[in-house]
Amino acid sequence: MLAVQASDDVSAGRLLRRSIRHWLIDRVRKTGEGALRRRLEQVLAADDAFERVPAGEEGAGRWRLAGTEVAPWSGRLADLVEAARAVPRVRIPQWSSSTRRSPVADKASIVAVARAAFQAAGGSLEIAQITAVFATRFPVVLDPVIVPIPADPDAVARDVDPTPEELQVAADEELDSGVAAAEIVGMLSPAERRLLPHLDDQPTIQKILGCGRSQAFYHAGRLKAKLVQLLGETEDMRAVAREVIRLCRESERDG
Amino acid sequence: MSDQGVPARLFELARRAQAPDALSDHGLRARFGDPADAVIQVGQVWRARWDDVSVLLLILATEARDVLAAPVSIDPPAEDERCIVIDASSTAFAVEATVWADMAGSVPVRVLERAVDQWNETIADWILQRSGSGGDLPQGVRPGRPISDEFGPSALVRAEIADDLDALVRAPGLPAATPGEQRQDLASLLRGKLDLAALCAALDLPQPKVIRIVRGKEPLTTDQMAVVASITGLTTEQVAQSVRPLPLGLVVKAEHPRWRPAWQQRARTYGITEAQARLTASYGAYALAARETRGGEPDWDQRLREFLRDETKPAGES
Repeated sequence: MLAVQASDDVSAGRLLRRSIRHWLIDRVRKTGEGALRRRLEQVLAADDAFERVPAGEEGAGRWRLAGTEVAPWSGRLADLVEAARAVPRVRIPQWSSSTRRSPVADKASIVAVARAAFQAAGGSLEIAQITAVFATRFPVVLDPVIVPIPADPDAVARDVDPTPEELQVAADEELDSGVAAAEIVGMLSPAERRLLPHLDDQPTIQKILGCGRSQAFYHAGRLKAKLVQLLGETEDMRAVAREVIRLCRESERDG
Repeated sequence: MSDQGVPARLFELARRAQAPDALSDHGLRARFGDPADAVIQVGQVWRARWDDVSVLLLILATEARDVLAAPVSIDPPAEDERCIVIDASSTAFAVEATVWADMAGSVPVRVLERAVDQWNETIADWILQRSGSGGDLPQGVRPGRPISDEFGPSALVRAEIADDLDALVRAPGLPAATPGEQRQDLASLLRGKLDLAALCAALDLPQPKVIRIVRGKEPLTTDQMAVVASITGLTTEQVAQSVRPLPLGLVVKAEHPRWRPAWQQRARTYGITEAQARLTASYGAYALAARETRGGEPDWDQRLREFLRDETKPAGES
């Protein structure tokens, strides 16, 4: 690669840095896929909703919905991913450790998403196929960096004259939002925390990352998708998102 | 996300890595001749480079100052459904090569540096026609595999290539004259209010050179433009536009990759950028041609050679 594409040390150095970066990304993803695959196998084996296709049957060793006799699936992965995305109220558990990879989702959510994928497939699936569906549905598990941004995070209306009960509820919600936001911020890398307050400011992202507009667009899009995934589909997601952004901005100011 | 430095030992390891013989300098000369005699042809794969940005390009069509080309990548392995992938046995790279066919676009000839491979022309033909009827892929070519993750590694490679192409297209070119274009030199713009002595002092240049600048016959650096603007009261844009553009024929020749080794050598000799080396030499060749009385379009390659030859003569030699 270097021999072909680089003609001096400057261009070779840039290409080499890029190669190393891609290699590191690939290694992180492969590690994540292995962990995801093991987690999925555990959940599928422990839940009565699924079963392995027994030896002697077509597709032996694959997984299917329990009690069905279906042929091996061989369709478009995108169809299964679409079905997985349609499952509502999927939860990502909180971090239990700052060094662990982010968990893909809680067990009930994994079961619901897997069931949706099997139903969409109408056939038995290899564990690698199920893993691919989850890896696409939950990109957070394959990358140490994350985030989701609501379309309009400032559009939450506030009551003009709250009652004392409403004030208490609001205070509780604010505390919950603050805790959830702090947990999410803790799951972001330093680079992501710097980027987050500027997701709609492409020139600033380019400046922070030292890249061109296409890479800035890519990184901003990925960060938004991850934030959406981390926020989940909770009622207070907008409040949490606002708090996450505020915390990141403060973190940036504090330097 | 950050682009950190490369450990020296990795850099050295990569430097020592063996490349296929066909891609060594000797191999490239055997296949494509001396770089100073390079000819750009459809189906060739060129290394395009400007500053620290380098991209492989498959030439689809050629024009005077631009080529229509599609970016090619070989490392890291990346592809999506908009790509085509060339079999390892069909290239000199000894690995599969991905052509980002939908990213094909116009790229200035001035960033082409060296031809590194020659592919069957049917591949270029197929890419050019794919927006129409498409048709079966040429032998040794397969469609790219679709990506399932819109933010996966292949998407990042695509973004990197797009940024690299943007950077190459922005590489500075020579100012070329267009038919019917009227430009006012500094002397006309200042209409007799020119303080030549002040200008010489501010630019720290001898008077003959400053006179050439005033008449629009000498290129200016960005810093010099700012100095002239501050002395004359003109805007920097007015000063920039006062420089007489070069004939298109000269520009086409000077921007051809066969001249790049000479510009790069000249840049090293004088401690200037490649763009400055090309710009000043081109104006030098233009001045040389202007002193001739023969009519017709000059042989610009010859004028460029003469300028460089005279420039490198030892002092005192006539």
